[in-house]
Amino acid sequence: MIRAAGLVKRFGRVEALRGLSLEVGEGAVAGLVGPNGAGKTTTLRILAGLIKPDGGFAEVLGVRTDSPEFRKVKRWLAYLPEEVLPYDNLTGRAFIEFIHGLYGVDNVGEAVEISGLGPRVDDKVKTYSRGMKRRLVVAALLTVGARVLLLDEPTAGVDVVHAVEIRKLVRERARGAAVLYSSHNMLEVETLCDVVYFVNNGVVIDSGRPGDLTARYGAANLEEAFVKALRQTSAAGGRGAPPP
Amino acid sequence: MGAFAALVLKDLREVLSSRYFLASLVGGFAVLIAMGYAMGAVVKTAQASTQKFAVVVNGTTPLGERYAEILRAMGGDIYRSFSPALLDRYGYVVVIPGNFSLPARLPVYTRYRGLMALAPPNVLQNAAAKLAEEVGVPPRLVEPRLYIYMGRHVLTDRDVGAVFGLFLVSWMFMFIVPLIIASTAAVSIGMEKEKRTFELILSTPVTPTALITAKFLSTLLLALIQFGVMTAGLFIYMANVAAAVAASPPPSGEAFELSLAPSPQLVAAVALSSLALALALLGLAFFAATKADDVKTAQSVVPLVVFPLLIPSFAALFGSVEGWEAYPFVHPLVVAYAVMQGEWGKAYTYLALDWALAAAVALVVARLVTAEYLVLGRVRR
Repeated sequence: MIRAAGLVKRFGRVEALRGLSLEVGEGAVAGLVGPNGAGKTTTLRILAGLIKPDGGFAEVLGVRTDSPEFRKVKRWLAYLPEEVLPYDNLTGRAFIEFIHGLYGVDNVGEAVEISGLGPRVDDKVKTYSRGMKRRLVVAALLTVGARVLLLDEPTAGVDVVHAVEIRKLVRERARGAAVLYSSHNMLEVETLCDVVYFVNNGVVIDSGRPGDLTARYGAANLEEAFVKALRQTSAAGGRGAPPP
Repeated sequence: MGAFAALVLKDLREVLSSRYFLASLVGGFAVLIAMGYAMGAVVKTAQASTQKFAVVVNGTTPLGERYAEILRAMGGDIYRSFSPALLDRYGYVVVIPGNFSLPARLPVYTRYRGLMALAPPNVLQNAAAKLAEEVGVPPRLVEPRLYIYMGRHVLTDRDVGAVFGLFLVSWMFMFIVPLIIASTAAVSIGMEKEKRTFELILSTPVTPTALITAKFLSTLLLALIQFGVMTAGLFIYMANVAAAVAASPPPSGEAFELSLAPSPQLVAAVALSSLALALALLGLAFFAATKADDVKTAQSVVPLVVFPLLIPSFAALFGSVEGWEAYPFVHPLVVAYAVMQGEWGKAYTYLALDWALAAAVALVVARLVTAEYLVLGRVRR
């Protein structure tokens, strides 16, 4: 359902992606893990059809993201950008109505329910904490009936309690969708994802199930496995790995 | 003090190192200089013609003859009879009355060249002072009475206030509407940039064209609401002032008469011209705002980009629109001027030009503003 094949993207002299490839099937949650500037956000933006690759291609639901036909596919795609926040002067309910209006769906009741905001959903967003704001956006996007979810750092800057709730929402509400989940947090990737892609310098340096990766590198956890993968890649001259 | 200096220095370094801020600052500065240079040239040309004056004298008192002689010595050309054609060659035509004495009521004819041109020339008073000195009487001033040709109409000095009112309406449309629109666009776009919501919206079935069109429409509606409220407030203010003036009797005891009145057609023409130009400026404001990362930056920079373009409207209001007619952002005034004179062909031409400009800007915006531009702030080559 999600496929990136040899993605290349340059911003001036900076090569953000250098042939990144990955695949996520129906009902799978894939983690995209890597340091800042590794190319995670650029990959997600290409998959969401926001920017065009300079090389390679991306497909979502079998349609290339740089083709005119991709417009129709967007109905089934939900992308949560990094650091996106709802508008301060709207109420939580009005924001959900806005997002659902963009998708042409009316599922406000469910979104309100899973947002966990309770009666505060009718308060203005500017009175919410950062965790509440982020959860509101996630709840709005998870209830538009998307078959593909692209989530960029959903829990960044959010306290532990809200982060746990957001992860729980993704796990429970993805409902057979293909999910690509970008994060710095190895613990949440390890517990949430079926498959993990280690990304560095614009390429996938390794990938596999979390348990397989920790075993492959003889690591105690995914974090340690990632660090060892980085060292091995550096020693090998930065070559990436093919998708599993 | 050290901490205070560090805070101030941080702000200066933060803002002054912004390429966007510097570009808008330098750009605005350059545009102002260019505008000043162009306006200076126009004013110089206009002054050369308006400072020339003619004196019509044909059978008057010896004092009148001497007054005419002094005016001639001060640069006036003498004629025996008045004709409106003289106004094509001279800024003013002074007619010495047959019963001239000091003080005298002096008919002065001129053609409308902006509000600042409505004051009678100083040379009339200077010549009167010299004449009084020659005949040994205390300095006495002449009382010029202006007759202002505006197309087919002749305005008396009583009409000047009414004309000022008409032009003030044009200027409000021409200057204030674009500024409000630019400011509203800055808030509207800056908010999306600050909240990073462009990415969220553009990843949904919404196309960039639909997003831009919606932004244009919502900005325009918000600006019109602001303008409507402001205009209503201004009318109430003016009504209060007018009521206070009406309560006190005019010194001369003469009733105020208006030979030119603002017609609905005039207001509609000015509004249509302003709307087209506001749309064009909205496109510019849109581009400027998408370069900012937050509301505050957008609000401070967008008016800086738009304001220099509107500066000529000041000059056109108080000076002359002649020579400036090719400049789009004075067109509401040009259109008002044309409609007042019944030159509908000219008014339609400028309205067509204004809407062509708006359409051209809309096409450029639609072509350049892609999802990638809105997300990354750069045009894909």
